Amino acid sequence: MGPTEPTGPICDQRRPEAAGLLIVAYGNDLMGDDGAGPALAVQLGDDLPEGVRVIIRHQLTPELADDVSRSAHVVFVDARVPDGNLDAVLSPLVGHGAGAIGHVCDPASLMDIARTVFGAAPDAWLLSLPTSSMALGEGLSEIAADGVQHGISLLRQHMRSLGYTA
Amino acid sequence: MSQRIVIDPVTRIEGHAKISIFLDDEGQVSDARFHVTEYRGFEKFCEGRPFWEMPGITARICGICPISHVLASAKAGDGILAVQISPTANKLRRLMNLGQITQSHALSFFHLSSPDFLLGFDSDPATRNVFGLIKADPELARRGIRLRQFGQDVISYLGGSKIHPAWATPGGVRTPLTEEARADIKARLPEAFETTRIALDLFKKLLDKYGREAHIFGNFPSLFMGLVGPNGVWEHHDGTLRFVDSSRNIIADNLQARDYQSFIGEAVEPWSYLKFPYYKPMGYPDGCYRVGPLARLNVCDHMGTPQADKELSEFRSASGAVNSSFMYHQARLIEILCALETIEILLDDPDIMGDRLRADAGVNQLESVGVSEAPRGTLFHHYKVDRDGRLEFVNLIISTGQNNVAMNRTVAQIARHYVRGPKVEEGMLNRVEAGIRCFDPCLSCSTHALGQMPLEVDIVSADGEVIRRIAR
Repeated sequence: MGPTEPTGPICDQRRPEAAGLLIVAYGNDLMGDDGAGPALAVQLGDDLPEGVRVIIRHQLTPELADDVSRSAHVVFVDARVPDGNLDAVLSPLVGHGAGAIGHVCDPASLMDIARTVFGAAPDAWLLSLPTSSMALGEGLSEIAADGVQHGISLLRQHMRSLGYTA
Repeated sequence: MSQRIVIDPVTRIEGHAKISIFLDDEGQVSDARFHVTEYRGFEKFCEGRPFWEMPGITARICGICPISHVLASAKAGDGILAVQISPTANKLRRLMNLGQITQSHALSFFHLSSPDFLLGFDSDPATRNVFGLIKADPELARRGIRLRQFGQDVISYLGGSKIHPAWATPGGVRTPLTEEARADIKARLPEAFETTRIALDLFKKLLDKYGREAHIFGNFPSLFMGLVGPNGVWEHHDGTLRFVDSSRNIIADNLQARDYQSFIGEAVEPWSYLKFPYYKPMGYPDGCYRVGPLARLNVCDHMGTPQADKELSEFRSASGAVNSSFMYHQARLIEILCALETIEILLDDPDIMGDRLRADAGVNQLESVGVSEAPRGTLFHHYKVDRDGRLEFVNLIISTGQNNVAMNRTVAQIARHYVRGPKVEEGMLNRVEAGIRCFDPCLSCSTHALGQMPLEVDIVSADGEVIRRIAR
């Protein structure tokens, strides 16, 4: 599996004090591979370059928009519904969200909130991880576990490209 | 020809559900049902595990109410250890639950239901959401997010920032409150109070506009159940259970959670995975009762804090209980106010900074029931363990499930008022859904399933033929 090069982000505005890279990893580790995002964040460890911060959540919720808007860059890390692709994929977050924000929301909608409520949104990417099953149960499948390793590799490369070095 | 209309699935609630509306030969609504269509056997999944793990495991049933499960589970664990937790641990648990009530109610009011109130039930569904709200009233939307954030931060200060803070544990809690956290929470209270007051004033003004909805949305006599503290004070974590009727007559009081099977029965219907709990002495379905903010305000004698007590006396019907489910919204705001006042009191309590956090004990009882008031209502965790503490039996009675009979009645009542024949306007459907949203149900918890849903409406004739399907 080779790294996937990100293309340009969708940044349009930033808070003057916005700084650092925020990694938001989310998913439910009781639902099999849905926990791939949090697993990646845990395996990434605490030894991160200066300016990099990790938030682990069960799901995205609206108030995260405040944290997002205070960052210069953000990467959302999520499990992807099985689609035959066994690679982790890092791609710029483009467009607007579905707008159906309530108990949960999608990354693009969270960016919309950051932009409209908090007045700023950083450059954002989505790192999606491959899966094979999201049924009730703990632990990752081989596909998801490999995807996590690939995702870490992509993420570390991406951090370097953004200037976050150890 | 009789027909059936199905709203599948219902939006802006948590979990998987659909609504069927049955029409008779004249096109009038004869009945309606709120179906829950997803089920996963979470309780079985827990069997064989050490009970110590349960706060952490059950918290992961759902990302919406993790704290409620942590607290009810820890209390069930206290019972297995047969310990009384320290005053500091108890007050810290209470502080966390108040944070949970604040953040959950804020989300329900500002982001899930306010689009209906401020943009109108008949407004364009494409913009009848939080972004429509942001456009209409950006300051209110921002305040709503910040109030939720305040509640979340109270939780994070105590439980840490992990996915689900299994911070409350059998015997107490794991870590204390820091002085820095106490100072920050105190500093942010004034804004939280201000936002809550703005929302309360707004809702009371809107009641003039939505008098019809308030009259129709689940307005029927039923029982109400909730915890009450000493002297009948509003309670959310300790105390005993009380049932009142629709005139606020107390019909059962000082009930212990461990005896729940003697007063709560669970009926099953073939068309829903969600059970139908009922008050056992009255049978099913006559024993329909409601839980949650409206019920808690109906069962208590007073709130125990000055601002919330003033609101309660204004809220209450002179003739008895408040029976309209539409008033769940105002009840939520009054509970936020009470939560904030109580947080303020707790932060000045010397016990809150104590260092006696956790009792050490082993398995001393093989069965226990923990109860707590989740934002949506009373939550029971019932465990049986072997001598090594391994779970042999788990039963969770979830607040949303306890409102199931009432939610079905609400759907039927609204449908009878707004639906006439198979030509259904979107605003009608939204009102039916909004009736469900009054209860702020969390179907992830109540079915022990996980997920989020889109929306579909089916109109089906009595002989089973789908004659119209609306998807959105």
